[in-house]
Amino acid sequence: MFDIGLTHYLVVATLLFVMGVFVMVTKRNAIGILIGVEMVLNGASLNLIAFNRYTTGGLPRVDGQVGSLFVIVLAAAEAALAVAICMNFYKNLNTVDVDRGDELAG
Amino acid sequence: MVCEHTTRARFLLAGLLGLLAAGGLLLGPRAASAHETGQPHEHAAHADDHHDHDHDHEHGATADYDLRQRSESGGGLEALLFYVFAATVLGSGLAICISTNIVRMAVYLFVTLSGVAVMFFLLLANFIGVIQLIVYAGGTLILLIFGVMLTSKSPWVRFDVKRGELIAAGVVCTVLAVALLTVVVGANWPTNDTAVEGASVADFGKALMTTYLVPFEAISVLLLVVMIGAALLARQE
Repeated sequence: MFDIGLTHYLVVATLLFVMGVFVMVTKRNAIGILIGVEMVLNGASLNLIAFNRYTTGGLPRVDGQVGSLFVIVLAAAEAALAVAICMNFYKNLNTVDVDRGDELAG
Repeated sequence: MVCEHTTRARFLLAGLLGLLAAGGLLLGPRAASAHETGQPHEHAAHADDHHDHDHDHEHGATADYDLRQRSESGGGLEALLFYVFAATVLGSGLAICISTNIVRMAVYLFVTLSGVAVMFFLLLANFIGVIQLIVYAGGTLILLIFGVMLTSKSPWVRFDVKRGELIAAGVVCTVLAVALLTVVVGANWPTNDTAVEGASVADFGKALMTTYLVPFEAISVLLLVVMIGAALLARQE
């Protein structure tokens, strides 16, 4: 209980991931969906760092940290593009409700 | 009524931020003292271990003992900080799930991201923790808030979700959570729990410039492409 190990961090990361999925699925605001994606990416990032801490066998390895850095960079890039897309969405439909973007629906 | 609600939210937020600050203050001295007392011993033992592994079993054993002792002495504080910030991360994550207001969701996301950054510090990934605070909490979140401001007539706009959809999403996510947690808790992870000092920034830079050179270059090209693409997408006609 008071001896924090790998599993503790993995449980937190898992719950963060699942809450991110829930936010992605239930929010209708496009920016809200983006917030859910950020939560999912953070959960994955926490996983990488936790494994890097507990499975390197005492060596100063940084493999998981490099992976986490790439996750952070990709998240920043993805957020920039997604906000640009949201602005276009708003310009065309005058709202960011993703349920209204159904012009191509059959 | 509205005013009261806002005040309560503000108190809650102030409390959470205070918690974050307190954690940072507690964590700072601990990291510094571990650095002062532990680093030379470990460094020397580690170098010996590396050079003549076969001859120097005795030395290796002492180093192991040192490390274990240090890990035990810092264990209580680590556990306390872990539980406090796990609660912060999960609580603010839950608040994002429940909240219907986009600005409030963004603010709760700030708390979540900061809490995850503290967890990175606890996991001895200091550099990544700082990057998380600078790039995520400082950059990406501001971008999201700008997105909110540019795409809504009023910051209090809300879209209601059907009750059936909420229930379906809740059921699916609960099943997902139970399945993942069963695997995570039940699996026998090959942990190797020696309390190492975190890898230094120099190690990190070397790995980035040797082993991970190709992904590093690819991601810098990707950033350039994204910058051009975002400017192109968001331009005014």
